[in-house]
Amino acid sequence: MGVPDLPLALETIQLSHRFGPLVAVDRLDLRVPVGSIYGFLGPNGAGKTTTIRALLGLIRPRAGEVRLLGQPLAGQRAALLRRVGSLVETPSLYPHLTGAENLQVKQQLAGLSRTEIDRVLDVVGLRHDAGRLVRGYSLGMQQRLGLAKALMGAPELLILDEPTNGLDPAGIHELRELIRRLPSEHGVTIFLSSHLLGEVEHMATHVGIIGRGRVLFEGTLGDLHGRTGERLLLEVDRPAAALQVLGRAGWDGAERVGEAGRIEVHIGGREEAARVNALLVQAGLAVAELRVEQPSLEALFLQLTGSAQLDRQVAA
Amino acid sequence: MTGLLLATRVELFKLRRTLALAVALVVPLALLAMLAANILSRDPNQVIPNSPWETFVVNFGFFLWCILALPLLVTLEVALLAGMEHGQRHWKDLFALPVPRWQLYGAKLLAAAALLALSLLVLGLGLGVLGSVLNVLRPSLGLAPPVPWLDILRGVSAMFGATLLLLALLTWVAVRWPSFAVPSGVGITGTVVALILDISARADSWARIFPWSMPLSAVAPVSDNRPFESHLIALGLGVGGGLAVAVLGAWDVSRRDVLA
Repeated sequence: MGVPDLPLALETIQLSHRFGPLVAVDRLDLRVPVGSIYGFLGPNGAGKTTTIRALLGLIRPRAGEVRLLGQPLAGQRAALLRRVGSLVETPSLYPHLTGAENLQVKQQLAGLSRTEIDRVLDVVGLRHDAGRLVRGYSLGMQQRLGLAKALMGAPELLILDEPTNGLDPAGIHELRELIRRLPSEHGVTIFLSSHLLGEVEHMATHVGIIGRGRVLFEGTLGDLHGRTGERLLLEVDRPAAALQVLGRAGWDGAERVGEAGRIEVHIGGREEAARVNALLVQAGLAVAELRVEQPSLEALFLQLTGSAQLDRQVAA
Repeated sequence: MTGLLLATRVELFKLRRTLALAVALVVPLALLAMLAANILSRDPNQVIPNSPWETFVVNFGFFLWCILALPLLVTLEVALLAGMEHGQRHWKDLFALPVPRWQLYGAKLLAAAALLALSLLVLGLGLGVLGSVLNVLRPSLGLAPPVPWLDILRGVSAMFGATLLLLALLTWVAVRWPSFAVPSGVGITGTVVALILDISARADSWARIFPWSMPLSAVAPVSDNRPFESHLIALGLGVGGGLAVAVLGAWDVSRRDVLA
């Protein structure tokens, strides 16, 4: 577990914050490699938004340190935030201004070139709607405009908090494609928080899962899948005999599932699946179906965060 | 300071197509319309005794303005300006920009002051123009030329200075509490209290230091109850107190966690 020694775009060291008696973030250590799309996962109330607010200097953590682009945030907030773009929850847009005017607000405040407005409008595909008032934008367009705002000034790090909140499936797909191509096309590291596992699974190269304000897992998606291995689903003519054969060969965890004839075996890779098949056929059993399945990220997520919830109940 | 001016320019840019800008123009124009209707509905041969222009501008115009329109206008303006950020939860976005928070807060305050100045300008010009029109329609009023533009300018400037404490107080309240009801409640309560103070026998002492009453104290005719020092006290407290509260407000906003 953990991210190896790569240059880091974002790092938190023992970051802690509490609201009164409620501990929102508890000694959080995050390491986000440069060039990655880092999915920051956790159930609602896990401490994701509090962490993001600390990353942007919106709240002062009670303890610990935030480092952005290799430097501590404390003491050089303005200089570092100039290199960071953010979209926290819903995009903050002025409905009485046009899309371009909304971008102009940030362009002027951050002292950016006016050409930045057209550049980011092109990136998110809103050039033709830039002259319309934002109050007439669909939710998806507003989200894309929020992303355009975050991209102004060519940030090296983009911090996105639940960017697909409230979007319909088409909007989610559109935004997901946009985010996925940003690191390669614009050289930006993306830190993306979400409670939607499927969303992160399709985009992230790295994931960090938190629960009760603490890191439960951090690493690549491959690392995460590697934690539980794969499962082999079989359909055989005589399942009881098949279980005996598998048990004798050392696959003790094999069990019958669902309909008659179906068996599930936990395996360590595809080669093992081939060995199971050969063993059953040699024993004279007819294998009608054989399928290797990886546990979904959602299942892993529930497994990790579920145990955190359980910890909480026990602690209470 | 350049950053503050830049942020203020952006703040003024954001005012386009807003109710806040419309209100700054409509409120003084509405007051002038009321004043015109009131005067024109009276006896056509009515005479304004003594200094007609001074009576018309100060006793009619400024009094009506200060006692009701001005405090309610300031309340509404700051609530609208802050609401622009609260409504769409803009503070988290603004404060994540590489701009010091005090500059963003200061810009909000300066934008509110600019809207106040615009309203006072409309009021001052409007009183001069209305007086001239009334002189044609009702010569008996005695509002003969020349229009005392310098006195009007002095009056609106004094009101502007004396309103700064109220403006700074209400801006802090409006930025600090996201609900529209809080600044509105504070503003309206203060207006009612000021109304009581202004018509009470104690107006001479309390009105000098009550932020809602200070604009009237800065321009009210000198009398036994309101010596000339009342003007200076209201003006001094308005400007000095306004600056002090502005600094305190900026400090408070800079250190506060942004949760909304």
